[in-house]
Amino acid sequence: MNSILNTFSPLSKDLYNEYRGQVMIEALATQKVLVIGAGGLGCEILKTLALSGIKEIHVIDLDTIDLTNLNRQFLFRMKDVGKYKAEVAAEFIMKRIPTCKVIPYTKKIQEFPISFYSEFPVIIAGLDNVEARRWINRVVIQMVQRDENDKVIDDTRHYLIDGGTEGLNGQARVISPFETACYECTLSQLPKQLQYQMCTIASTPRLPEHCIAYAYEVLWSKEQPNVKLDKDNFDHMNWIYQKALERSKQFNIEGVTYKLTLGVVKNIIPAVASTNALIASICTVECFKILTGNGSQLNNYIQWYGQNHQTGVGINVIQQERLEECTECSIQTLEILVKRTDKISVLLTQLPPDIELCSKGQTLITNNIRRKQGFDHILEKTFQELIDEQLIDVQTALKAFDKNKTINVRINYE
Amino acid sequence: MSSNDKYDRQVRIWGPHGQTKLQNARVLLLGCDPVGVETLKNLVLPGIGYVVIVDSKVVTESDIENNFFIPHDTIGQSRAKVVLEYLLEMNQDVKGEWHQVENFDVKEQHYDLIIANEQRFSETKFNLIELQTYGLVGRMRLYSPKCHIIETKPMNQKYDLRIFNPFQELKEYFDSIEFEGDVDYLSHIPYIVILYKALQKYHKEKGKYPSTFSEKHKDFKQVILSLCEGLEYQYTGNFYEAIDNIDQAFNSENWKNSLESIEIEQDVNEDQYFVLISALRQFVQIHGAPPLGKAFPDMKCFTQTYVHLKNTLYGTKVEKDFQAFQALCQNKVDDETIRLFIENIQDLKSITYRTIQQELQQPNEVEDYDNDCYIWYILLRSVNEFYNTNNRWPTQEKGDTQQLQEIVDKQCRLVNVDSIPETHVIEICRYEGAKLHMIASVLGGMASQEAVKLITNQFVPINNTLIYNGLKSEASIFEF
Ligand SMILES: [Zn+2]
Repeated sequence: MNSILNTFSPLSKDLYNEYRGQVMIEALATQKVLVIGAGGLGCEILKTLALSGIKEIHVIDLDTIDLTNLNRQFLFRMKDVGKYKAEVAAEFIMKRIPTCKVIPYTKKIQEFPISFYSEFPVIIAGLDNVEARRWINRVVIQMVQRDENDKVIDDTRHYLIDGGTEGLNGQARVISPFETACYECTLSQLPKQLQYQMCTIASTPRLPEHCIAYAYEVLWSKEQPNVKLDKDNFDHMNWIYQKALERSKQFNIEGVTYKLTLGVVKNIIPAVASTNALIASICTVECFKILTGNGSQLNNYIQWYGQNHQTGVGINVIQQERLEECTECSIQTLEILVKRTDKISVLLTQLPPDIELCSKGQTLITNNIRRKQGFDHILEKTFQELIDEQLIDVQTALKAFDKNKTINVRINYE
Repeated sequence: MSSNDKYDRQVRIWGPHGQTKLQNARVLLLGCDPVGVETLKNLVLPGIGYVVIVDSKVVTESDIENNFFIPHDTIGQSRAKVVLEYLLEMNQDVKGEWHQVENFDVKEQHYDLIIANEQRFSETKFNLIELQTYGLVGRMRLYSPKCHIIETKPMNQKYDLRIFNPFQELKEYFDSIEFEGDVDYLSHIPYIVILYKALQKYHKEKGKYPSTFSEKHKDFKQVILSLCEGLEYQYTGNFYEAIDNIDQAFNSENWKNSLESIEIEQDVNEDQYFVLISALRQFVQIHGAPPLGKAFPDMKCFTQTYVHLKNTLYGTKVEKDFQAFQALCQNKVDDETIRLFIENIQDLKSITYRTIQQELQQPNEVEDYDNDCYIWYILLRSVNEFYNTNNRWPTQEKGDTQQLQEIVDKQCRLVNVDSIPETHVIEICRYEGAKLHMIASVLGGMASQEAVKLITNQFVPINNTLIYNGLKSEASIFEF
């Protein structure tokens, strides 16, 4: 380990060669990394971080362990089924590698304040859904602050590393806000989810999947109007399976099985230890390189196709383009002139409607009805008061978010 | 809980028969350095049958720093014993044994796979994965004495729909369909019928069938569109489905490759795959086309039409071809394998691997490379030669870099490369043979994918080397 923290490297960043040696070794030991998700990718990331010189890892996951996790989520055993993933994983890592501290959280990522996330220079996400990815992407963008020349202040740039797998294929990316494309920039490139047309399902079914979709999307609500479908309940899934089977016989369609029923209804994505290991570890290598300056950064997206008919494996490294009209990371700057004695409510008339105005990651003004009341008292304060309370930094632009974009709000004082 | 199978998520990738192969497999791990252990971890989890671990050393401090399956309180114990114990602790379905020996004789034994972990292994009787990590760089080398894959599982499945030259019953059906009727009828004509009719129309107008790319995708497309002229757009889904599947109108001749890649061998009887290939040869001679596979895609049409096409027309032909093909196999192959073979006839693949000895003596030259991986390959060969001479790895000391540079020059001449940037030579000297867990973990993930391919005989394994460059997060495949 020490050889890549000590020796001169002509192929690494200046940061590395400047601080290599004892300084670097000690610095690495004080860095904290946040891992979101303690599932297939998360378990691997935790293990590899712990064996790469990271001494403190925080991990968030509100899921509990399911039997079908055990073929790849190697920190869990049969006896752990039903327990919180984050807690079991943290305990396992600390027992095996006592020099590493792992702090688990079993809450939704949306329940943590921005100040929580700002403690981590790197956030690694092993998530399984688009919404959570978009949310954490927004967080790393919101954390960025700019100096008087509108340049990003280095310390406020937090990296997001994101991985995902499907069967033998997977991908990983490094998001450096305002430098690389962000998650939102590339959202339109997501593969469309397979959906069956309702008219096919209802009147001309041909595949076993069509029969299952009919039982699931039409029959359940019709015949069990008062029961909420629980996809993890065997009786519920078996009901759908039996109904689908009945329908398939009626139409002479073969191939409805219980396993296929689960696959269709739960939209099960095949998963295996090997793919998780390689994608998670690529993410961890990127994290290590960010923290130590070793090598150069993945710029910024790698695709791995373990299922490749021609060459066995297909590997592409792609530099994703930033989207000019990205709703998260395209920047517009608004200059506003005020007096220090003005109440900040004067901004209400000068900003577009439906915005959320933030300073240092703290909300000042919001139009969100649900949250609005909590912030009304701030509207009564003057700019000077907020500066005194250190809620506003005179040097730094405020940030306004609306549904479509981020706006830098530069306040000039008379 | 809705599923009681802990292997559910992976059986969806390689099927129950793939899982059975995995559960019956014996794997030998030579050496307990992290990269091979990580590979084996990803095989123990999905339920590999039996593992044999061989290593002569005892646990030291450095093992604890880079190996997850060597805990801190095992110093002084046999590495093989510790690694086996902590790997098997993960999955009770897996059994195994360990040996603390220097040289392990594999001659009289059978292994489905041998993992040569940070060491060379040149026995050519078994499937082999050789692994090396060096600082931020990794190398994986595959070898298989015989690699014929039936279930190659391409991402986009090809179908054999016989639109271009339909068998008798299918032709009669195609000809019986008229393009006249109400919207409901027209919008439910299956796309295979549309493609057939468009081919006939094209031929009638131009006196030939479309053959170039532009003829197929421009002129022929226009003919398809002419068939739905006057139909409102919302009713033309099936016609656009036909356009999306234009390539299906022309017979795939991929199966011919598999005939060419296999020479007629004298020991045909010894191997099921040769029996199948020779049966295919005979079948094509008799019938003019390969046996029809079962795979049939979804297409917009009435349920009755679909069931009739799939089960009656195609289904009957599939069964007839199967019987005829089965007779040609002379009871040397089981029915299930025959069916698999016929289903995959368009995508069969055979790989002949160069042996490791051949590569060591003379690697293949690479002409185009678009990243640093080839450079790292030459450098890995060079540091390995340095080690063989000095019994230690090179450092950034002047004497070492000079000696290494001479070896690098020699290795470059061997593969006709002018020179290697000095920066890369200095970079590799800084690693001093470091085996980093994170690089081992990346390569172990990649290697276990290939291991599963070799063991289950599904998917296409690499031929034959993968270089991973962690400095830049890039990887490339070479045939050396
Ligand atoms: Zn963006």
